Amino acid sequence: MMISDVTCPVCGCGCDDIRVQLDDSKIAKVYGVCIMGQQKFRKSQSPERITKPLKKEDGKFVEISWDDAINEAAEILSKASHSLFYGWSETSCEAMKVGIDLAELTHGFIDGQSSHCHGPSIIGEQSVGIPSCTLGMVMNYADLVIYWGSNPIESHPRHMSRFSTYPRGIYSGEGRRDRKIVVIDTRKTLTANVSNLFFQIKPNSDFELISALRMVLNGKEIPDEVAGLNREEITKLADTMKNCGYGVVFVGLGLTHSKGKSNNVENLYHLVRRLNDFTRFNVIPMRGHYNVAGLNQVLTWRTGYPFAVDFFRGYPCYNPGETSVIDILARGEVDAMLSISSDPVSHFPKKCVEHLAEIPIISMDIVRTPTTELSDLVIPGVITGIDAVGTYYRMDNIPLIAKKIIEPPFDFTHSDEETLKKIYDKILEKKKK
Amino acid sequence: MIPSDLKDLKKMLGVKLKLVLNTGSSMKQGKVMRSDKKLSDDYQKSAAICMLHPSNLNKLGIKENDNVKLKTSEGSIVLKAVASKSCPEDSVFVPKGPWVNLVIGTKTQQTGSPPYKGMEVEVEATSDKIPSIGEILQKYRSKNETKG
Repeated sequence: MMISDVTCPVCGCGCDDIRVQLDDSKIAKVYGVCIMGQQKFRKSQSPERITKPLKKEDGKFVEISWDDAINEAAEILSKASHSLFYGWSETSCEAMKVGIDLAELTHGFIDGQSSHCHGPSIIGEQSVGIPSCTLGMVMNYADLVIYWGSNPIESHPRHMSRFSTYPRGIYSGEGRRDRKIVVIDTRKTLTANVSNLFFQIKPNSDFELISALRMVLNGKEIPDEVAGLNREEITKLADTMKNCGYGVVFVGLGLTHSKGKSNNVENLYHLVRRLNDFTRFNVIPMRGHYNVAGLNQVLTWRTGYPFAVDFFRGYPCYNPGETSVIDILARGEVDAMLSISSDPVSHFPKKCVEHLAEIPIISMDIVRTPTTELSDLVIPGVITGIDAVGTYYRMDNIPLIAKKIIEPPFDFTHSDEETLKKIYDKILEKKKK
Repeated sequence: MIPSDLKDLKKMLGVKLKLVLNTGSSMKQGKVMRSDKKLSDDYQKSAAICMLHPSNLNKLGIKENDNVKLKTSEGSIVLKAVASKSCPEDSVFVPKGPWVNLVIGTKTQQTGSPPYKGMEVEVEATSDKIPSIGEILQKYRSKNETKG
């Protein structure tokens, strides 16, 4: 049986045009998906898939029953005085809702991947606002596409072919031929190789280049050389931006992770706002996971803050640098963690992982990862978009429904939302006693 | 020992290069990240590498696939050197993962985002081994005796 218009639960492109062939209610073939998506669909069928709850006893994992696992998780979280609820970018918005309830109930702390990836973009957005559009508008209108500190060929493989570069839109003419692709990066990436214009800048100098572009647009003199580019190159870039019909900048982690961080992004939003005096210009952050934008949405409408929310005082507090996951772990301020469909042990700096190794960890995941190896309790995860239905937000903040195509390989739970609700109810029960 | 050529001399003298550390996604690392092979050798092959401009390999007196040691204010890590013309001469590129995170700092400058890009790094040739993912985890575990 062939199922069409399947959603891909991997990167921020959130592709919704995948076709899956089912044989015997198993995924036989996946069509139209990128190399990363292929891996995730394959992972759902893997013999390595975690299908039973595991508890660490004397350094070894032993299988335990579902009820014992829920009880154990509730025990760990109710004993802790400040738990961390981390991950969320690869699960549904419905599960996030229960996650926020859990953080509130236990006076814990909730944060996701967005904190240490595009957190600075959100801080920039809060201070100056964001002139933005949807990916559909990029496809139909854009004749100038700028990838700034972003390498979509390796991080979002279908971004260029689905939205920005190759498709023929209503007003974007012949597709690739009528679009100009500009790449600004410190490395000559694979994306730079297929661009029309490539500007190689010095590391940690994005802020200077953005300021220089703003100066050129305002008719001010700039120095002979800024950020490793000469005056002619910068003037050419500013003219290209000014003279396009519909431009868009995709902001990558090159801006948010290097020196300046939120200031880089804030400055860029100012530049894009200024460009709207000449033409139509927009900016979209290149969000990494398919639902990393979802946590910002759900947290904002539940607590008023987009990420890094601390319920330690019983009400939501937000102060990046203080209540953000990297800072809170580096200072060793949490005493238990629930990690959901994420791998912080692989992706956090050493000092943070050293603290994680000292505290009890519950991880909900699909297969064994470095994080499950350091965990005390492993709960089988359900893949939203393959085993379960759920809402997710694409990188341009468009909500989509992730389809369910097969049953999960166990029957004790049907979604991450259901699992978390059971843990929530158990903690509540313990509190009442 | 008398060095047989210039390369060995550079190695013996212990040339150290001061560069900028850039981490990020690569296709191979992204593929493993989404697969069920995060505890296998594939992860090490895709993420425990350090991309350097060919001229920097020459300066260090090493060939491709030799090991290099990266040292920052946070610690040091051994990675496999890979020549890449896409990498500028003033920096190195390492795919994100548990290896490079051993040298990444935690100062977020009030933003929540650590310096995954832009840290100063000292690169030198080494004959030390690249730690496996199991060894890295073991090291984290041994910091705390109570956990298995």
